[in-house]
Amino acid sequence: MTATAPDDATFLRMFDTMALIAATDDALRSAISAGSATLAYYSPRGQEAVAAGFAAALRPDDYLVTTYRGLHDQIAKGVPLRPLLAEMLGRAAGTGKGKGGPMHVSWPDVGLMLTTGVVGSGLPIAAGLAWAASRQVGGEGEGEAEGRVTVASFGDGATNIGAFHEAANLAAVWGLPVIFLCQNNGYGEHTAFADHLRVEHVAQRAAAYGMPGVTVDGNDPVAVYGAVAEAAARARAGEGPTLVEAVTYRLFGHVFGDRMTYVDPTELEEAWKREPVARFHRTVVERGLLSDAEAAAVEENCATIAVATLAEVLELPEPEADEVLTDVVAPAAPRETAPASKAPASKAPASKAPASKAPASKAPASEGHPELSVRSAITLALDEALSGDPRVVLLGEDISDNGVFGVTKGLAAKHGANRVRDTPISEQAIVGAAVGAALGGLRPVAEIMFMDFLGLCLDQLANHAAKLRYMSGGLTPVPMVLRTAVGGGLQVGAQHSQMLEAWLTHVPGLNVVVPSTASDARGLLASCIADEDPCVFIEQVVLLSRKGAVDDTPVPLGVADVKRPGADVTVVTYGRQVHDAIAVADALSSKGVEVEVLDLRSLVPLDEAAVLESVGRTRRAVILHEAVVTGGFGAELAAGISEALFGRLKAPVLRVGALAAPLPYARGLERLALPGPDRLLEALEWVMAYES
Amino acid sequence: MLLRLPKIGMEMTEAVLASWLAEDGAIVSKGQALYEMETDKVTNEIESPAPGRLRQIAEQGVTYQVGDPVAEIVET
Repeated sequence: MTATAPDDATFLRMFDTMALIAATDDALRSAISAGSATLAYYSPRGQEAVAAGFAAALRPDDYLVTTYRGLHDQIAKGVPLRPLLAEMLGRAAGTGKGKGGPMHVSWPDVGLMLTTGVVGSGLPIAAGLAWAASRQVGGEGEGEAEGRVTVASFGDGATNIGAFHEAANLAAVWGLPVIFLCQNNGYGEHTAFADHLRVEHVAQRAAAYGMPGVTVDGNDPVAVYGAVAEAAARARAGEGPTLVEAVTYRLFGHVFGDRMTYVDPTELEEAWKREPVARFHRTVVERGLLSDAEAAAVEENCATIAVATLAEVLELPEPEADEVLTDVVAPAAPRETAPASKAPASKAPASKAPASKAPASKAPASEGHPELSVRSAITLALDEALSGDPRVVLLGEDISDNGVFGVTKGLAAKHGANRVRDTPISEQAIVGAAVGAALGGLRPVAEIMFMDFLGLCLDQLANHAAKLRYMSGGLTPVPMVLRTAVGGGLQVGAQHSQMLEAWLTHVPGLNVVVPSTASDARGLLASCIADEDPCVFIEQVVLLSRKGAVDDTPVPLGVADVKRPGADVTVVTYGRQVHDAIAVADALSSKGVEVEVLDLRSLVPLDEAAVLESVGRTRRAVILHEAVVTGGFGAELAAGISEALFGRLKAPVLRVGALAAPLPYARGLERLALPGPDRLLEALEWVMAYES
Repeated sequence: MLLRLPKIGMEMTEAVLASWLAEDGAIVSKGQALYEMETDKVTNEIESPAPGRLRQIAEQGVTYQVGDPVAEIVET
């Protein structure tokens, strides 16, 4: 059991930390007033004791996830002042090379894995980090981080957002070593505590999740230290999460320049009387640890350091222009892993589309399963990944019991319920935990049952998974996979049927993959799991039972495949529509028209070279996808083809996709809304007949 | 120390120097309100980041851009 009372050395360390936080805050506010620093600044002044107390109770290797009002947490956890301030001022020497900014500081060296600008979003990620840390116990994973805990730091306002509740519940159900540390500073943005919660204490909310909740004086670092030390001891002992509420006060309002007109002046005056740095100054003097003059000298020294570091940082250069496109995804790997037969030089991805690593090597398997369904091919890829890499874990709803489509059948029994892990129905927690697990060194494969539920977890995917590599200047990549199913064509209605790939291809940093065959499904999923960046793998349910030969040729991301060669017109497509295109092409062949069917396989990275090579040759293109035409990925393809091949085209590029309506339920209407072979045939005939 | 018009909040580009709150040549302390600036969103009092003698540069009622010189604090 960790001692819950700090010793004298810890008292002094906490005082030093608090003094440095206050001094750095003062230096920053002064620089903003003087017009030499221009940033939106969320001062933590008044909350120094929370940060000093929790950090002193942690080990250096414990993880921290914090929020945009995070300067105090970052300093207390040990982020060096120079890169910290350089990031706040957008300098190349910053923690994220100046690409993240004050709301996005990460410094894994001291366990700071995330600062998020989105209220509450750090909590599911903290749960994932804690899962990764707990899996490393006992050496099944990397084995070096025994008993590591994760602290999620957030404000009282964050406890009203879904992410808080989903993360708290998941952490409790899974018994994760995480400490939810609420810095209750009295306000959520400009709204007072009493106007946004009906409970007296945030800690009461712990009862809803079956975890202990404690409320302490957040202006007393000794009280915070005690509560966090106790929670850390529980977590390290495998007893699960704790909610610690540290009641404090935000002395300078929400953001620099906030006039705090919504605050009763008497309340603010009283809050300044409880100001924690002066109070702890008196404490260390009263305990006889320092004389008053010595304590003042500590504060003076911190002020000198903060002012000098800030002055130095203000002179540093901004990032070079070429940084704008680095760290979006991992640097392109050498192409020698691509199989020669599948990737001739002309089909190499465009230079801006990074090549992905080949799938992890695995035992040859082709002779054992020449013909598999897409479902079994996906199961095989997951099984091979779980067998071949101890970092691979699966999480999602009902996945230990086959999963809703049987894709994860048998995997929990074979690899254990800790690696193939059921979750509550909590999409945000599922994807957030996957992000955190990836930050913590695992290779998570999360499942969201239907793509229509993307809206429930899009913040985790688009604001976190996609951006964390970039915003940290490459320090925190997120190698995770999100598998999700689409039910179009099965009469399951408008909320279980949408192809929403265009939502995702619009976000830089996400790879998006749609297989059409069993062999591609296995190869692409293996490539996704091996990739260093987040990948969304889209499974069209209608395809799952489709059988096909499976071979061991790796399928790298960013390499399209000609599924049927032809000289007269190219159909650019992906997913199950590939098979419609082949059927229509076969029918047209008897009329003397040879259609080439190009299967993109991955939309991001896009094999631009293959598209332009094929259409450049046939000089006619029709784009076919299941998604609604309006704003769909086909628009991106059509624009790219037109930009590159305007003069060569014999006809306008046509798009064929779903009609612009929520997908209807009735069989006839659904068939009408989806792009069937008839509409493709019509488009191809129009393009072939076109005369300019 | 040269004081420039600060940027307050995410979208500010310019402000009117509404009024001086300390006289030209006055000895001011750190944290003392120096002037009031007004954007179409909000009025803010700007405090002195350092102690010293105030030398006013900007004029009342005039619109300035973020980064324009407003005042100087001369060490005494």
